[in-house]
Amino acid sequence: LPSIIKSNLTSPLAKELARLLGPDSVVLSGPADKVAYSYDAAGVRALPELVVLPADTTDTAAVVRWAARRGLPVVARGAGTNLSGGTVPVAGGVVVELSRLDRIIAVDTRSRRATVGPGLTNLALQNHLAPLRYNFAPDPASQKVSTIGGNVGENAGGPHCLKYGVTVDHILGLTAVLSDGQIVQLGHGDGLEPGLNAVSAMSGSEGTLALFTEVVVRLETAPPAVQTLLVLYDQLEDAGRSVSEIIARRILPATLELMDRTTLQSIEESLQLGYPTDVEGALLIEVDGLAPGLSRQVALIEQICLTNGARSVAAAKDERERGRLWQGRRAAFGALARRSPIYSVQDATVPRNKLVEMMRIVQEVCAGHDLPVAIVAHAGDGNLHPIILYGEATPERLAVVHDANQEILRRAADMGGTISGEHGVGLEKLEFLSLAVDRPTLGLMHRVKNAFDPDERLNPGKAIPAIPVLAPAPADVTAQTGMTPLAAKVAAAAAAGDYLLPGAAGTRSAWSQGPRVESAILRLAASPERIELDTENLTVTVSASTSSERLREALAVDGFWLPPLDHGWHGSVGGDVATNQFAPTAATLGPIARWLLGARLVTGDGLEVRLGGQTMKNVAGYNLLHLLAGSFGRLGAITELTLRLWPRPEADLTLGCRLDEWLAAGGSKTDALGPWEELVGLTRPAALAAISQRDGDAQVLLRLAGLDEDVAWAAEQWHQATPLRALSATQQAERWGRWSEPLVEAAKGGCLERLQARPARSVQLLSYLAQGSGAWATCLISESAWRGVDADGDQGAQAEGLTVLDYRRGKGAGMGHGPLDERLRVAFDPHRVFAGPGGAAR
Amino acid sequence: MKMPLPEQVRVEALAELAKCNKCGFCLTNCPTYNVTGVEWEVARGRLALARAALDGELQAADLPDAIWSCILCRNCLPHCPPGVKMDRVMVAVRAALGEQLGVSPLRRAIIRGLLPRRGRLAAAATVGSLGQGLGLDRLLALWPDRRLRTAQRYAPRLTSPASVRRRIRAEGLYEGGQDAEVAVLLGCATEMGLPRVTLALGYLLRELGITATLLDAACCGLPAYGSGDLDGARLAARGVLHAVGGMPRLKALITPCVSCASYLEEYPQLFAGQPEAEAERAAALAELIKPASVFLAGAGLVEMLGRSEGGSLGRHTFHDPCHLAHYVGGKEQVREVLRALPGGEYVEMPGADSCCGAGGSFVITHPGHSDAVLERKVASIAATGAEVVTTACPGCLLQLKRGVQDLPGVRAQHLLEVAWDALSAGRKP
Repeated sequence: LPSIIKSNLTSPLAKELARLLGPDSVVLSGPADKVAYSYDAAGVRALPELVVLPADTTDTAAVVRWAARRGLPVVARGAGTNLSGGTVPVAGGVVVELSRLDRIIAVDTRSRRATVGPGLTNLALQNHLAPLRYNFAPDPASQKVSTIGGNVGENAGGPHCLKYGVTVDHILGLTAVLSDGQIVQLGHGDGLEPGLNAVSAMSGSEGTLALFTEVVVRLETAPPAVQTLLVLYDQLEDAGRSVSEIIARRILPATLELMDRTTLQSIEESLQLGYPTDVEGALLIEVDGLAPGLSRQVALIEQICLTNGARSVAAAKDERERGRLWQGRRAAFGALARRSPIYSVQDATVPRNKLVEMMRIVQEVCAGHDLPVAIVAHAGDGNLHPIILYGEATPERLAVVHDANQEILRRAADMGGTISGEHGVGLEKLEFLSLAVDRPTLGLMHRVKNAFDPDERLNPGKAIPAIPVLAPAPADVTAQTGMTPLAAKVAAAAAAGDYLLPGAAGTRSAWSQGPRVESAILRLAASPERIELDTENLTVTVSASTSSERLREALAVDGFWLPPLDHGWHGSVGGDVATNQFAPTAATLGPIARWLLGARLVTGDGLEVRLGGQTMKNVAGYNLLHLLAGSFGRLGAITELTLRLWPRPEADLTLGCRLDEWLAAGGSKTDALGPWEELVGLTRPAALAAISQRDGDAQVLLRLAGLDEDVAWAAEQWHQATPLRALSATQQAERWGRWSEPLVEAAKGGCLERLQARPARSVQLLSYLAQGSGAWATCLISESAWRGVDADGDQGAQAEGLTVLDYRRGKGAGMGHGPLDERLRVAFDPHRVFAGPGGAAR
Repeated sequence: MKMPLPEQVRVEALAELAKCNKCGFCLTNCPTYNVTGVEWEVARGRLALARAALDGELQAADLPDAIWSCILCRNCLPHCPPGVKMDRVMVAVRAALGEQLGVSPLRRAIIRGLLPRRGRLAAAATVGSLGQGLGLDRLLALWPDRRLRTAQRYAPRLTSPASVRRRIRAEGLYEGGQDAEVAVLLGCATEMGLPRVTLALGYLLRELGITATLLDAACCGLPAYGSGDLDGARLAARGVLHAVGGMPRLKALITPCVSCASYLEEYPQLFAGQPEAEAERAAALAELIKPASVFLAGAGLVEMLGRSEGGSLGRHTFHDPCHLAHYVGGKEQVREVLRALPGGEYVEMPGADSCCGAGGSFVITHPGHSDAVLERKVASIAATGAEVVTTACPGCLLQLKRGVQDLPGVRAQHLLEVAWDALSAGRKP
């Protein structure tokens, strides 16, 4: 590439920068260069002073360091497909174009991760993974062009988020360049490693906290069977009712995409794919899963749609037809541009059961302002895109559009939704952010920004409005009016210089950093246990002190499932989140962070903040929510949590065998999964784990959860190929119930070892575990294991390739491991109320 | 200062420009963006620059090479939801730039003085052929300008058109005269450098019982048009209009060059606003033009190939010229021919319809781009494991011939040649 395009150094600044960079990086500074990098897909324009296309991480860091010295703003940019003006250099400065860092650096299917350059397009990654039968779950409609770096920066969504979550749920690590040019490695593990999950806070930070030069993504096994349906409706309400009933009938499709009449007509005018043009709306439904049960699910969906007034249901006959259906949906915005190239697109998100109501509101508001509008919606997750086709950008017209947008976003926020589900706040939604994010929370976000970029040079004027940083409440103010008792207590502790450890029952306080002083435990159990189930939105909101066991039982009664709660530990949900509780499903269905949608928290200076919300997608402001998972009480006292749910599976079966039988049958000296990787992909187990009690009776357990015929078929496959045999219900309960034994032991006074082995599925790790005497637990396809050890026992594994991280009493299990932990902690807890006396890894 | 453009062209260009919503879907399908990664190397960026120039935000002299590095392949168009006809805008801007900054005298001399004039073209080819015979062309490769080196490697072995015509007469091909229903426009590259294609087309027509006539015309006008020289394009086009003027029974005008075919389809637009009689003739001619491969596919070639046996073509693949895939159309018909070739196994290459980097004079004006684009195409060809890659455009063919030099055992040929070879092989005992 570099030999074709040469640097264009027309200014002294450009020449100065070019001298600092390697020969393969390109610096552009001509008038045309500035014009070409003055926009993104949102339509706002501003000229940068310089454009740099760095060739590698080193040069990217050099650019940022130089810009810091020169006091120049830095704007990271990928393919420039941002829909909220996020990559427009409104403050001038340097555009750092990362699209050339588009390599697939490594693909490790064994550890289920890939390391890629930020400039790689989402689709290029998918195409690379497809033959390996893996995918990267986020699939924004712009996937053909939008880059992985951009996906992370915006915490992008896409149709498949309904079932698989958004980008943050699929990013394991980042190589980040901080505002001073420092290069840091974040994460790169399996998402279960100790320390704050700084990667999650970077996701959705819109280039305002750091630049990324490498991204480690999590790979998902590709669904073995997929069916795509196009359902036509004469009434939008019928489509909405169909969606509600599909969810109510315990079906979780991979996508539920809704398009209105104008959209369908535009797609057809633009691409002639055979989309209908005479209906009010159409649902594009995709169901994926195992082959045996798929047709029953499809038939059920078809029946639900027809009884709810669908005009017709058509299934894609082959991959080509499926591709055509999706091509139309993905081209929707562009196709509407054919009608009116000048348009405004929003991405308000509401709880999914309120989607049709919201669509009607959009139509009313737009009609009231005399604005033509088309709507495309991710009906499954309540995310809708009103596309206002306003024709010409006159000041009068723009003012009307602005009013309409404001009204739409306000109404969405009033409904418990958010102002941006996946496009980011960028420039265009800055003024609306306060509709969805309250002042204390915004204040916390500013502190985080300040901790990373005190001079506001990284993408200035984006993501969060430039209001003064909310100064920490002074420590000598004991309580302020309007504070809840809990906040007042925290403020009082701050004033007195006391240390607090949030906890409900205090069962996991053994891993706290400070000494276990009973008086320091901030008893959250004082707040009443509360479970609010929203069956239509598939969410549950609980007080943090709610017992996870009771929540699990309550959900089961109503037919729902929250897999990360199936861990057998007797503590609170808040504790599960705070300690990032290791559950058997962690490696397959994700750790608890992936199920987290919202939380309330009291910070170390008594701020009561609301992180996230009730919607599946939420990119309004920074994503600080996932930091709570594994925070060990150091960021604040969690008081309330909102989690997403899955319908309870029809069938739930566990197979088991002795570990030595398993390894012998597998026959591999290194890979604990033996020859059965493909079988995992085909049967998609809910858990594949190994556990042992103190007596060394190590077992492999495989949990299959899903449709009756799927589970029966999958069990048969495993039965034939491996020594695994179905366990009785009693055995199942008893085996999984022992999962948390190492933790229990450790809590009783022993210590806990957390082991890491790379690559994942290490036989070496298993033999190391089996040699010891303590109880242990590990997910076979992850790289993590937990083992209980005696307090004065051996100091961990010396075996080659294993990393041991001590969860010893007083050592501080949760914090100080990541390079950004301290910066983040200070933003939450300026007075060290939750940091504990001494002992902190500073 | 705003760019000087005839008002009508300006209005059209602006209307086309206004359709771009900057979604960026063009990014992955642009051959030049794929190899450079710079925003002004793709439709969205080029359009932004064009707009800035038309609005007066940028001066003509500020425009980077971007306006000229567009290959006009239209590969962005099928992926462009608002359907921006990128190529029209580029030509309009090039025309304006030509007005404002002037066209290089050499370029002007070639596109106006040489290409449209058969006599001069023939003379040039004869001289060139002698030069190549003496190895003088290799001197060009010693010149320290990459463009000349690339040109030398790209250029075909030139043939004197007179000798080709002698051969045609001797074989009794193209003897339809002025009353023929089918006329053949060879196009400059075929005429000067690919005599085997000229002969193959003649044999195939004769075999199918179609009497045709070779037109006494040279350039279709595309090189001038691509350079933004609309007057030059009309000058050349008039030569074609004149050549078919005396053929009252003409039903089809065919050409072994899909680029010529695609450009003849543009004649109505080129002559809009010209004297009415001429505009009408241009419009009528545009209705008759077809690429030879597509025409023959519908004239019995597929069936004839299907009936024949033998041949030892082996595994083969096809490169869709941009002018076929994204302009005139006919990919499917061509594939019917490909699948019917006896003794062959047709394999579709990945990205068959993405540009090879030839683009007429692009290969000479932008050798760096062209090489990088070609490299990707060669990788696609290699991925198929084919021994033969065929195509339907002389420009692409020359580029592919250059490209497959790096692939041992792989050769590039025009589809018409391969079709004729297969037929004639099948008839041998």
